[in-house]
Formats: sequence, structure tokens, C-alpha cells
Amino acid sequence: MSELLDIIKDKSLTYEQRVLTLARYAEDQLNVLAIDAETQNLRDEGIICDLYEGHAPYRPRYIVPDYDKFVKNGSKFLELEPPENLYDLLNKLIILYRHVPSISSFPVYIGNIDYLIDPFITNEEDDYKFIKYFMQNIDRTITDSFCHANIGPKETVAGKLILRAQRELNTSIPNITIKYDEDVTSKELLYDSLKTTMVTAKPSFANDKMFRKEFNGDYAIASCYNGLKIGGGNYTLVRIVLKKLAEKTENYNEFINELLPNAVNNTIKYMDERIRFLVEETSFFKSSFLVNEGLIDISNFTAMFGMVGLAETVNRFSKGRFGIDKEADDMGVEIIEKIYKMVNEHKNEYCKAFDGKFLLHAQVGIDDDKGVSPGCRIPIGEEPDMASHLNQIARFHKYFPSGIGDIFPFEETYKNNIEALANVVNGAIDTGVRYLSIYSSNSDVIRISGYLVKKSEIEKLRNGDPVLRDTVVLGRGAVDNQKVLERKVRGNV
Amino acid sequence: MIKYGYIRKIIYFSAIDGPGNRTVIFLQGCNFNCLSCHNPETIPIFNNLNMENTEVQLMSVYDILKVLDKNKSFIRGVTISGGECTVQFEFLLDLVMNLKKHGYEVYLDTNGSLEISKFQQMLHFVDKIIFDLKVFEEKEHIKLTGASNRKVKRNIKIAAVSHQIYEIRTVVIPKFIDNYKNVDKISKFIASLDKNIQYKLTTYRQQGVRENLLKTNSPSKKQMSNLKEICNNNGLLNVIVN
Ligand code: SF4
Repeated sequence: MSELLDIIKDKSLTYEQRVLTLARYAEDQLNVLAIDAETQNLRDEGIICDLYEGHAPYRPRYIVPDYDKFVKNGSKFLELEPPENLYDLLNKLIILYRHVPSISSFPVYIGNIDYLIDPFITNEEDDYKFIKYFMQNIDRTITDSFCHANIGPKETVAGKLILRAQRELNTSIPNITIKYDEDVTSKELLYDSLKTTMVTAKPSFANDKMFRKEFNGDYAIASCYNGLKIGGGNYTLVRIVLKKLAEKTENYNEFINELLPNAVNNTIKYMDERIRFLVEETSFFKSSFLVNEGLIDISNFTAMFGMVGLAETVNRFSKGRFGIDKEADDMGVEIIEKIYKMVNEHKNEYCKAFDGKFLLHAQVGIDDDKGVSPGCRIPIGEEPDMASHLNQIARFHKYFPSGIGDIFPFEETYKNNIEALANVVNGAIDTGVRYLSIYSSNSDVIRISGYLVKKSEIEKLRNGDPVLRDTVVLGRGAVDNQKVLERKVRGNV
Repeated sequence: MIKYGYIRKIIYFSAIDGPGNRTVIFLQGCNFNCLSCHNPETIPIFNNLNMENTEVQLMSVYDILKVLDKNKSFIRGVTISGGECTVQFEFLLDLVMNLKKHGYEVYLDTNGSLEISKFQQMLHFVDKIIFDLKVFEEKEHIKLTGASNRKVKRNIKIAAVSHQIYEIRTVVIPKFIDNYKNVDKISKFIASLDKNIQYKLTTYRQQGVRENLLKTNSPSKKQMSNLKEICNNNGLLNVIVN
């Protein structure tokens, strides 16, 4: 009970954060999932980790509404007619966002907003103001950096106005990804995006061709960088902390042939159980208006199988260093391939989006991970030169349709040479990189692992002041524990 | 016969040595001895590796191509700089020929002092040149660099005719010479060749420079923008200050 009182008294929480923390506390009093002893052991050891997703999942972790449908039909439940003009559209979108749940209770996907807005543009300068107010509204009301907007791949007037607003507002929310395809995206939109990311650390670049092929058409990038089906989402994300699993043995063969398959199987079982509870026992898919009005459909859902700490695992067993020596990277590929194969062999009846399959996800880590590198990333401080780095990550990106990405801070001089950044992005995508983020080493808004945080807000929190956006707390943890401010700055090396 | 060059350093990604992302190869050795040189360690000309320096490596054209290979997808081109890259003429020629053969866009960053005939030969194998034109008056040029600038001006004229100048640069060093006069003359000279040539005025910074050679300081922003105005008044259309 004292924990409950602690939450009520905690000075660093806003009202909203306090209510959500209380709800999480309440949920965790339940013990309703059927978890066998072996899985529970692995959970207790921190090897299988559900990222505090809660003991009784009552909504999918990530929801990806079909916003096109909403714009076309309006919503009966929300008593909204289809929008008639730009202001009407933006207002109605904001209303809908308020009703899209997720693990953090904030929407993690708010649409391909340029395509949504563009048909309503009538006068660029006037409309720009509305778009800017809209973006500002999102930053101040969806106070969670996992909120993600998409733009592109085609250039639109709205897309360019959105980027312009981002440069002016310089806010951390929403996270933005441009779906980028050199053959479809205009050079102007690419340059505009690069210019913007050197100011405000977004948008990131998604390899549109790669995603489209895997998703057999359109897709959404939600939360950090997770590819998901539109009109669907992800039930749950459970990760294996490979580093902790590796620490159980000195012997690589034992790791790859016994410990790893066993942990993967138990993780799958645990995910199956979470999905079963959510779909069969809770009311979400029976009563949510999102389902009833077809904004999401259970047939477009999947689940995400996460992993972290590949680098540390390889470095434990290999004579080489992960990210530097080929033999070490080869071992990394072998481990990921093993996981990939096992996960793909499993079928869950509720994961119809991908024929019953879960998708792999290179998880970015959480604030209290210490000495565990995100997903397949090379540890901060050990990054090789950027060309080698990009070639290395391309070996891993193909296995992770529901999310993997790497982050590169660039020297200020690149602000004056946007073409140079375009060379890097185009080269990366050609090499097989799925997703990359770029920012200027001296910006206030920086990318922590997938999400964005302002350095100035981390300082505020350090001084014990409450901050509006909940992810700042995670950002501080990452700065302290994962050295994210010490990433190798690119250019002139 | 395989040719080897003395390489001071290779920067894999650079945004400040020509358009786009570029790999920059710094060759050791210079025939000038500028009081304002920011990399004086690159001045000594090497004849063998026994000279006391572990940072200079002997590399063949093949070695360099191998290093570039992994970079190729991410860069627009290669810039060769120094020291003064043309000091190792034979090697440089071999290098640029091979770079072109492998499809690289090649820029040279040079003080422009190479013999005219050799320079013309070199021009066939490079895309563009970045020149330093430090001082316009020959006497003052000798005072700053220890060498004449007659060839520099001639080579600039030659490269202008074939539209192979990417940029001409002048470092603005207060007190040493009258910068207004110097920049006025240089900008008139450039404008007489082609008004579109990019001219960059660089702010002198003490950092890295050999101490006590020049007792001076950095020019103010105001001074730099005044100089830019002079260039614009003389008709230059692309003037950059940095
Ligand atoms: S020409 Fe360049 S490298 Fe040579 S001494 Fe002058 S500044 Fe230094």
C-alpha cells in the first residue's frame, strides 16, 4: 500500500502521469495469465521481459487505425460526420487521437498525415497556420514521444508544410518518419526532410521499397520505428535480453543449441498467452468502437518478438568484436537467423496479418538497461567509421520488419551541405538499411533510442521539476545508463 | 610499376571539401611554407618513411582504391588535398587516372603552383579544382608563402576556361596585409574570368597555426561581410563567407 501512496505523493509526476501510474499499479495486482514455472523463472531472471506491459493486457500494445476510412466515413460512435474542410479535418483527427489507446494510453500512430491533409489544402499560407497549430496541439496533448506520424513517399504540399512547421516548432512530439523511395520521393522532399532533421532530429528515413515488399503494399511506422499493418496493430511485445541469457554459459554451442531455443520457445508461449487473454477474455475486440467501425480489424494484427543485447552476447563468445570483426558479425547473423527461423515457424491463430506469424523487433532498450545495447546495435563508443557501420547494420536489418533502426549524429557542417546527407541516405537504403535516423550533434531535440527528447527537459527533470512529456524520464535514464550523448559524431573522421 | 604515395590522412566522410559527401585524401608535403598554415605538420616533403613520423603512411593506388571501395555507395566523390597534393605529381597523376577509371568524381584542392604543362595534363583526369589564392600581389605572396604566385594565377585562368573551378578560397588574415585591397584585386581578377565562379572568404583562426609566426587575430564578422560586399560590387555572384 505504501507504493500506492508513493505514487500519489510523487512530486515529479503530472496529474495525468499519476493517474496512468495508478492504473498500471492496479492492473499489476492481478494474476490472471497462465504462465508455467520455466517461463516464470526466465521472467524473474530478466531474460524474458515484457517491458512492464502489465499483468492483464486489456488493449493491444500498439493500435494503427485506418485514418483514411475515418476521413471518408466519420465516426458514428464519436458522432462525427466526415470532415468538410481543413480545420474540420484537423479538429476531428485530434478528437479521434484522444480515443486511440495503446500501452502508454497515447496513440502510437497518428496517420500518414501529409496524405490525410493534402486534399484539404486550399491556400498554402493560411493553411500553414492551421497545420502548425495542429502540430503544436499534438505535442502538448499527446505527451508521449512514441506518438508517430508518417509522411511520404510522394511529395505533397501538406508534407512540406508539416516539415516547415516542425522546423519552426522544434518539438519532440510527434516522432515522424518519411517513407522514402528514391524513385518515388522527390529530391525536394528528401532535402526538406534532411534540412528538418538537422534542426529537430526528425523525420527518420524508412526504406519504403523494403517495407512495401514485406507488407505486400502499404504499412505504417508506429511507436519507435515499428512496421505494422494499417487498420491493425500489435498485441504485445515481449523481448529476450540476450546478454542475460548468454551469461548463463561460457559455451557458445550450449547457448545457440540449447539455451536460446529454449528461451525463444518460452517467449513464444508467453506471448501466445498474453494474446489469448487479450482477445478471448477482455472486451477490447468485442466492444471498442475502433473495431465496430472497421478502423481496425483483428485480421490485421500481429505480435512483436523483441530482442536486445546482441553485441554483448557476441562479444562474450566470439574472439572478435561485434561491429568491427567479420567473424563476430557472422556469429551475430547466426544468432539472429536462428531466432528468425524459430519465430517464423510458429503460428498463432490471432496473428492473421502475417499468416499467423509474429514479427521480429530489435528493441531499443529501456531506461534501466545497463550495459545492454539496443537490438543489434553496435555499442556506443565502439562505432566504426560510418561506411563500415552502414554496411554492418544492413546485414541485420532485413530480419526485422517490425522494427530496427540506427542513429547517426552528424557534425554541424552537414547543415550547409544537405546533398552530403542525401548521399548517405541514398547509399544506406541501396545497401539494404531498413531505417535510419540522423540529427545534428548540437540540437536540443535528440534521438534517444527510437523516440525523441529535449536535452533541456532532461535538465529540468534532473532539477526535480515535473515535465509534460512522460518519455523525458526514459530519456534521462538512457543518457545516464546508455551514454546516448556520447554517440560517435559523423563527419570529418 | 606500382607507384606509392605518402599519405598523411584519409577522412572518410566530409561535408566541407566540395559538393556532397566526400572522402578526402590528404597527401604529405608542400612546396609553400605559409605563415598561416593550419596543418604545418603536412609541409615536410617525404622521400622515405624513415623520416621521423609515424602518422604518414606509404600507400599504393590499389590500397587507396580498396579503402574507398566500402565508401563508394555513400559519397558523391573524392577530394585530394594536402599539404599540397601536386608535390607528389607522378603518384597523384596515377591516382586520379585510376579514380576516374573506377567512376569517382575527383576534385583537387591545390595551392595552384604546379607547372603549367603538368597542370594541363592533370586537368584531363579531374573534374574540378579547389584553388587557394592567398594573396594577389606577388611580393606579398612571397612574404606569406615563400613562393611566387605567377603560376597560380595562370593555372586559375586555364581551369576557368574549361569551367573546372569549383571554388577559389582566400583566408582573411588581419594586420598581415591590407585585406580590402587584396580581396578587391582577387575578386576583380575572378570576375574578369567568370562571374559565376564560387569565391570563399575564410575567417582566419589561430587554432593549429604555428605560434608567433603571425601576430594577429581573427577578423570580425563585420569585416568579413564588408569584404563580401566588395566582391559582390565587383560583380561576383557566388561569394561565401565562413
Ligand atoms: S599551401 Fe597549404 S599546406 Fe602548404 S604551407 Fe600553405 S597552407 Fe600549408
